[in-house]
Amino acid sequence: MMRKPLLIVAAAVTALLAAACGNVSSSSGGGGDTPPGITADQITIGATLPITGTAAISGQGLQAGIEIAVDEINANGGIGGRKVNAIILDDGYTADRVVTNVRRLVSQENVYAIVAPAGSQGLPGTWQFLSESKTPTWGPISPADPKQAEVYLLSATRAAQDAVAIDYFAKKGAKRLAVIQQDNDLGVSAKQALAAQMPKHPDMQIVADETTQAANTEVSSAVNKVVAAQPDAVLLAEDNTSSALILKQLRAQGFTGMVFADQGAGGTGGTSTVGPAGDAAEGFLGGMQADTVSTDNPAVEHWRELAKASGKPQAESGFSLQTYSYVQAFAELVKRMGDDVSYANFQKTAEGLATDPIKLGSIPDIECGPLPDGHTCAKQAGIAKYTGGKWVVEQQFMAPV
Amino acid sequence: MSDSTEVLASAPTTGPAAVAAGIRANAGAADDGGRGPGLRKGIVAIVALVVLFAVPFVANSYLVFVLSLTLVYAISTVGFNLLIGWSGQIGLAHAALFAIGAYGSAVTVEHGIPFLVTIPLAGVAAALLAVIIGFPAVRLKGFFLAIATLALGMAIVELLVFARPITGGGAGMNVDVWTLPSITGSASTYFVILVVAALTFFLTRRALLGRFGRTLQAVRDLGPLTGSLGVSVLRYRLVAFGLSGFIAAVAGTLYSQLQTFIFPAMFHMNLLVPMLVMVFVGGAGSLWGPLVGAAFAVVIIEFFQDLGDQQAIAYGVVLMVVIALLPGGLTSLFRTVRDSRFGTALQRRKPATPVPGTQGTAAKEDA
Amino acid sequence: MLQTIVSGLESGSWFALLGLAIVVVMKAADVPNFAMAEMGLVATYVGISLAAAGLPFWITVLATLVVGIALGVLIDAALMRRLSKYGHFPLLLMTIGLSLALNAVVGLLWGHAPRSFPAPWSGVSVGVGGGVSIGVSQIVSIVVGLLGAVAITMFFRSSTGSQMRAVAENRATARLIGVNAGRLSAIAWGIGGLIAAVTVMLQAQSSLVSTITPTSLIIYGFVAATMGGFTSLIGTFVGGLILGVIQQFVGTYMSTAAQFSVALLVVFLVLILRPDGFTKGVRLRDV
Repeated sequence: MMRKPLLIVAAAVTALLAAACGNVSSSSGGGGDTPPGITADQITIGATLPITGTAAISGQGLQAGIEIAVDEINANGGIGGRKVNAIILDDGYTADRVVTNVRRLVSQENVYAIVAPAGSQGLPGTWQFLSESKTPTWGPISPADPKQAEVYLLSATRAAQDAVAIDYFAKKGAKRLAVIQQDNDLGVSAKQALAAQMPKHPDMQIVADETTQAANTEVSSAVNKVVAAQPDAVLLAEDNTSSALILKQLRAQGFTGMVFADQGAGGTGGTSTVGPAGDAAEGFLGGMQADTVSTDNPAVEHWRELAKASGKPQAESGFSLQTYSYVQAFAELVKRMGDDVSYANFQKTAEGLATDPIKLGSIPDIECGPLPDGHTCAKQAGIAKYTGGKWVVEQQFMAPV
Repeated sequence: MSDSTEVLASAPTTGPAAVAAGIRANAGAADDGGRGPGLRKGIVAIVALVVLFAVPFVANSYLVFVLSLTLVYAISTVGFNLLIGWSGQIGLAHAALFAIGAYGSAVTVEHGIPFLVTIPLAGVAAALLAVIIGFPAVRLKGFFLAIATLALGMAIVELLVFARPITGGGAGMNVDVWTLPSITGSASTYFVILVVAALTFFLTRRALLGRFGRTLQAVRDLGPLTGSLGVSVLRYRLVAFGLSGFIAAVAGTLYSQLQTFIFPAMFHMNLLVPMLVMVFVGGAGSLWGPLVGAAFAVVIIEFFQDLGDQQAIAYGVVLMVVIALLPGGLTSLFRTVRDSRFGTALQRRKPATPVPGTQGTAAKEDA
Repeated sequence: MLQTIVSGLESGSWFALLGLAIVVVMKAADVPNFAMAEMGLVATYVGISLAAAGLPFWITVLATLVVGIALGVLIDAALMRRLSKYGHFPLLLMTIGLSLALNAVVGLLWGHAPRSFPAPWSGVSVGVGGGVSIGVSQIVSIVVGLLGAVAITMFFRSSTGSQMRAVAENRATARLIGVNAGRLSAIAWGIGGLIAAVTVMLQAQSSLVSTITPTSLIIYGFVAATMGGFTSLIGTFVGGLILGVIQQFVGTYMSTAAQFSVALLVVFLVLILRPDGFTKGVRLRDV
């Protein structure tokens, strides 16, 4: 008597197989003539951000930036008449949820593109999937460049920022450089920068190179060792908390030299690092992927007004300006694509930016080109200094020498 | 749940020191393996498999991924449950052994060995390692064993960081996804996972319902006294470690295929804690608990993520509530309902069901 | 060198205190408490908020300690006691669940940004010659750690303390001689919460604390407790200090990245060679 249901199920399954076989076939990925997530009056974009968990401060800022930009674009009639629908998922700063979220955005929410996602260590776990689904990933926050057709990096990578900082140290006459790096992707960026830039500054030598553990705030022995090496400048490749802690301890031990951290770690323009560091933050140098600091840049002031008015948490942080700018750049790109919204045209238009860059003013010009290196669309980084309780521009945007 | 026909036979575990209430509550699960409804169970299992097999044809790749993740965690939890629930040893190196599977597979695939071959290879390597880790079990008991294995497990993950030339260190490494010809990566991975999960559940079920499972329980509940029965306690404990390590690593190989990018920090406490939760919420020492526990852990993360910080609170609170109110885990809830008057009434309406109790007891007698 | 030792003793005194908190609860209530660092974090954050609201420093310190005690007693009464009959595993899991929940509550109420506990001596340091200066906050950590250890040891020599030992050794016998195990368990949890609050407050006045910091603190606390065999207070305290100093020396003369591995190695060696704690045998009628 149990046979009958079995037969029914088997029949149903066979029918489903016949009806939906395309679902598992690898030839039927996205990227056809009509990409998902775009209709005559709406375009859906998505991002995964660490809105909770240990990186929540940056995640909230990144979220605020996307929301502010989307609200502004929609208030002005959308992108070419299409309202923007942004789906933001929380990954709690865990790698496997980044991977799951990206799959959800692409397969379940059917986004047209992933715009300004975070998750530098989890995101590489999505590259293979994204190359299968062909979904463009526009402006992920600070992973290394996978040199992949779907992925466009819109601002200087950590490695590029570190390289600019090394040049700056050399220019300031530093001879002895110390490095404190975290044992993860952050440290890898620092290593890349050191490998690329140190040969260009023969006068400068590395006197201390310390590695600390990720997710561990035990940094004092690294600091002790660095101080003992008497460096002129210290390069940090750490997270916000560790950067603040190292800064505090360095200054407590009387170190007066230059200390630099990239935009993410230094929280340039915001308080995520200098706030906890307190008095020790005086003179601290932070990398700039976006111009969060100057007060006479009209594009930035425009964002600042919107951010203030929004009242969202961390809305006025540098993270917010970054994602705000990326969404605006995305809107500009889609506008330039015209009526052909296919992914092929997306890539063609984006790679054409080398000749006609998107100039937002708030971030370095976006000038993507063809692969292999063209998808790192901005190589310039600036440096800001925290002094007298506020951030000021120390060095304008420039590329590493 | 396919075990839903027998009532809980009286547990043979009135030994001096049952490790935990959960184990006690689930101790009867072993006696669920009655012969009578075997055919029916087989059919249910086959139907379930066929339905699961059909999922990628109808569901989108996100749902397939979530299901894959659930199955991988379920496989891993089978191993963890074997160690904690069935053999009563709180060994906490499971996340590290899982990492050994993930890295073992990813590294050997990089050196040209086909992925499917790396599954058993990584399993055997981790089983050996698990036996070595389990060796302190000779001297340490309960909480001390937990701390020692926790430390060793963490040390293994640290070694992955130091083995930079092979593993890419703290920055992580890419994993090549194995695909069936002209099938998407997600679906290929899912099919492999499904097959492995089915095998794992089938084989462990057989082993645990048989002589091996009973001896394991006897060793757990009687401890050194089992020596008088002519059973080597040490050997059984180490076999439990080895088996659970094997299963953990097999799950790890599949996990690496799902994540496609792995780094050591994935395998620390942040993985071990959910693994414990899965064992316990599912029901330590129960057969289907791992599946229930894994589904719970994945579902609460996936479908309640809009809650933000409140979700993390909910996770902790739900865990606490389950521990406080359901020491046998969620599967014991099913049993409680089944054994309640309502459940019994439902059962009575099925004339084909053999008389409850007798069958289970008979199965126990002929051990 | 001197700086290395001082830094080591400072973090060592945090490890040692947290280890003591773990051992105290372990002795009386037989629970390995994985939520200990989070309990201290909650109490410390309350103190920090009160300080931000303008209350005088010593009032905020007092408030932090009271919250620590209250939290401990509450957890014992509401969650732990009813589970104690089930043995280790559910209790252990309960503390893990508790640590997850408390951590998330802190994140929800106070956010995830790191904070420090402003003390009158924050940022002040004293020169000790040779270009080495030592922060007053470091000295405070070490001194308070030492005082805390002495106070706890004294407590265990009192009559309540010896009752607690009786409970730890044998629950049934203790009940026979008229010991109220429930009351003692509440006291132990209260003391545990108090010490945890002191520990995290010390960390916060010298360094920074956030929702991330409990994770590593609790592991080092357990390492210290392991060194004391989960019973010896002196062993735990000395073990914690030694651990801190070893960590600093490993960081200074080997690599910071090796610190954690060395701590793990210490745990393993102690458990294999001297599972009752490394001071076993040398202890003089220790608790």
